[in-house]
Formats: sequence, structure tokens, C-alpha cells
Amino acid sequence: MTTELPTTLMEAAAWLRAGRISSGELTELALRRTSDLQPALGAFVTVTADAARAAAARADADLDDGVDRGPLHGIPIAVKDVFATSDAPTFANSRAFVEPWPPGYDAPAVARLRTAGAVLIGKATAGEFGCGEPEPGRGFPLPRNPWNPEHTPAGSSSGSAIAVAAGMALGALGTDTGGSVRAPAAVTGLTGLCTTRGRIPTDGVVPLSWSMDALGVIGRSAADCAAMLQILSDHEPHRRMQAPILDGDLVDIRIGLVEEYFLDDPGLQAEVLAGIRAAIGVFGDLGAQFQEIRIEGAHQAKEANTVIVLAEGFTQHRANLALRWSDYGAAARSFLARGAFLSAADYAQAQQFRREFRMRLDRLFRNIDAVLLPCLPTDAGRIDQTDLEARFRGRNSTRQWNLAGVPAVSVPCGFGAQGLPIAFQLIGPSGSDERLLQLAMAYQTRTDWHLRRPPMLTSTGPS
Amino acid sequence: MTDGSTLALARSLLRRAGLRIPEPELQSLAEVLPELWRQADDVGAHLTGQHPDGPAAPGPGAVK
Repeated sequence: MTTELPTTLMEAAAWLRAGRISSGELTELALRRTSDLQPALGAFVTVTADAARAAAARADADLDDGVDRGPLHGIPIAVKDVFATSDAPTFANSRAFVEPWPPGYDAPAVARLRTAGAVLIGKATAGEFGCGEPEPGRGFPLPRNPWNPEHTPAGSSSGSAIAVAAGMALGALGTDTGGSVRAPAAVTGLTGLCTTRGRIPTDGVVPLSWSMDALGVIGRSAADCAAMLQILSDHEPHRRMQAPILDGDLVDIRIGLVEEYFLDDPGLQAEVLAGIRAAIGVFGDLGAQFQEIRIEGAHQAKEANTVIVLAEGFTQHRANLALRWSDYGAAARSFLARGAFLSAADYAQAQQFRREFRMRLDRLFRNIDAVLLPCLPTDAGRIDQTDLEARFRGRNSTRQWNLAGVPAVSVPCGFGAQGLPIAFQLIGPSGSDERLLQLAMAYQTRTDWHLRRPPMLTSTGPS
Repeated sequence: MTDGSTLALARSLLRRAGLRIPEPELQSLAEVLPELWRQADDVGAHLTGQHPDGPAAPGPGAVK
């Protein structure tokens, strides 16, 4: 048995088929890593070790019988603790859940992973109901950044990112309403895709904002994300493994660059701007063309996202907040209660703006294939210096795309002022998820930021 | 520090929503109310090209 966990999901898939490792061995390595690092990193609410071992045994038996279910066959995957799963309860990281969803039912997205032969390692830590912050003493693990446990892994799909960054899983499922997949991926050196809204069903997922929630995947590489997307999006798990890499010919690709609001953000760390400039250079070397563009109403789009998420989140929780205020964490209840301050007109205007903003982007994407932007303005801050109100008031580069329902992928591009990972973001028109991942793959053929591993992994045994 | 009228308004809106919130938390929530309304108004103003502090434009405009 090898003691080395493959670096990427795609590498693991190749190893499995080459007989270099079995799913059982992969799963044991992932579970051992989880057991070693869970106390320090708080990646999982529930680890489903027995079910994982059983799934791995089935995956190995199938491969022995010549049954290949595609790229996730036998691969350890983590699932955010907002997805219903048949083998573990769903808490949404809250003590205010009237009753945690009991095991017994798989959300469609989870069912697709299982049908494709994935091995689910456990339920990954999340921000409470997708909007809260970790708090000690509430009975849930405190998620920490594997690159430096004193720093935040961002949220709300925190555990999903931690699990992949720390080698507890080779891919993860998350949800993204304003950046909840892209931000954790960005600060942990991973690739994170927020899919076109509605492309993957959100049934069986604890909602935050029914009109804004989208599913997402986190992997080390864009190719890993593409493998998960392939399984999640079309329910044809028996399709042949595909890794359509654009490896050096982007001559027909036009990328938009937006100075106003995004690249001229005074809060942008110099290292982030340098990482983006370097990425522009890489895409240029690959043949891409660039065009300066304006995105009118970018700041209002962020605000409209806030208004809609607060209104819908509050509507979802109103009765429960009235009954169980103190059972919610301080950050979640403060966030959700803000929805009570908004009028029907505020909500209607935000939805009206949303329609116009979406049409604006539709027009924009007639002339360009993607937009390249920062993901977060800085690398991960210290956990003890988290400032929620600054986030509420300040600029933002992720929420606009949830408002429009278009796909967005965060791609690692270096390290920030504190030595922690940073990322850029690619945005594309509705349904262009695969195209964005292809662009990210092309970038990753020329860079290795996505393959870097947290220093702590080198001191915890097999890596 | 939130002024008395904003605090009273916040309390009233939260009560209307069925929420009885301990005073220190009510205070914190009331502090975000002006900024939240500014953001909602900014979205509405952008729809019609109006600045929230400017005069209302004639004809159909924002819904508030």
C-alpha cells in the first residue's frame, strides 16, 4: 500500500485505474488524515468512517468487475453540512434547527455523487445556516485555515475547503449565496466553482436564500472541479472521463478587465493585484485577448444581493427566530434579523435591479468570454480580527455574480502579505461553467499555485 | 451610538416581526439600520438614475 495521498482528484482517479492504489487505501489515508488533523482544523461535524469504508469496498469490487462509474469512482469527497445525506444527520451548524434533518435521505446532488461511486467521508463544517460565524461553546468544531490555524478559512463552506486543503478529501461539495464556495477556496489555495444557479438542484439543501443559493464544488485543480461538475450537472455518471484542457491556444478567447470598482479597490492588497497582473500575463502568453470594460452598477449589485439574501433569509427563519432567538449564534441571528428592517419595496426594487443587472451582463458577454477579477481583496485575516460589519459595508467582488446567477470560479494565484493563499476570479455567462473551468485549467498548465500544500501537512506523516 | 428615534424604530420593526431582542443586541442591530436602508435606497436610486438625496424625477420611477 502506498502511504502517499495523490495530490489531485484526477491523479487519484488515474492511480486507481492503474492499480497503484485502491479506493480502500485512499479512504484509509483520508480518514487517517482526518483523525490526525480534525482537532486542530475542525473540518467535519460528522465523519462517516464506516459508511465510507463500505462505499470504498464497493468501489473496489466494481472496478475489479470492470465497472467504472467515472471520475469520482472510489474518490473520497466531503459534503457541506447543509446537504441531506442518508448516513448522517444535517445540523447546518446550528442549535436553532427545530430538529436536525435525520439521516435517511440523500439530496439529489449527494445521490448523484454516490451513484457515480464517490466515497463520502463526512459532513463538513459550515457557517451556521450559511450565514453565521464559528463560535466556541456551541458544540460544533471551530474551522481553522490549514495554512495557519490562527487565520480564518472563510465561509460558509469552511469545512469543505479545509478538508480538501488538508488532504482529508480530494473534492468537496458546498453552497454559494454570496461567495461561500469561492472565498474558502481562495484563502486555502484551492479552486472553487460557484455553478450557474439552477443547474444543479438545491433540493435537500438547507436554504439561506431560495432565489440566490447555488451549488458549488471545491477541488485542488480546475480539472478536479470539472470532474465533479460533470457528475453533478447531467446525471450521466457513466460518461467517459473527460478533461478538456485548453493547453496553450486561447487565441479566440476575449477576457474583460474591470478597473473601476474591482481593480481600483483601495483595499486590494498589493500582492493580490500583482497576482492578478501576473495571471493576465499568463493568459496573454496563452493567446487570450484583453478588453477594458465597465460593469455599471457593480456596487449596487452587491447591495441588491445583500437586500435579497437578508429578506429571504429572514423570511425563512422569522418564526424560529421569535421562538429560539438565543439558540442561534450571535452572528447568524444578527445577520438574519436585519431582514426585518427591509420593506416589501426594498425587496421588489432589489429584484427589479437584479433583472436589469442580468440583462446588462448578457449584453456584456456578447462581446467577451469571461471577466477576470479579484476574488477577495486580501489573504485570510486572523480569526480574532474578523470584522463582519466592514464586510457588510465595504466593496465586494463575489456577490454580484450570485445576483446574476452566472458561474464564477476562484483560482489560486500566489500568496498574500501574510504568506497565505490568494486568488483571482473568472466570471462567465450563464451556463459557461465548463468554459470557465477550461480557462482555469489552461492557467493551471502554466502555474503550480493550486498544487502547493499547507506547511503543516509535511509534519503530520504521509502527505 | 444610535439615536433614540432610530433605536425606537428598530425596536418597533423587530416587534412587528415578532422578535423580542435583549437590549444590548437591539442596540447593535439598530446601528446597522441606517446603512442597510442607505444600501436599499442606493439600489432603488440606481434603477431610475436618481440619487437618494436628490429630487424625485417625474414620471414612473423607483417604487419608493
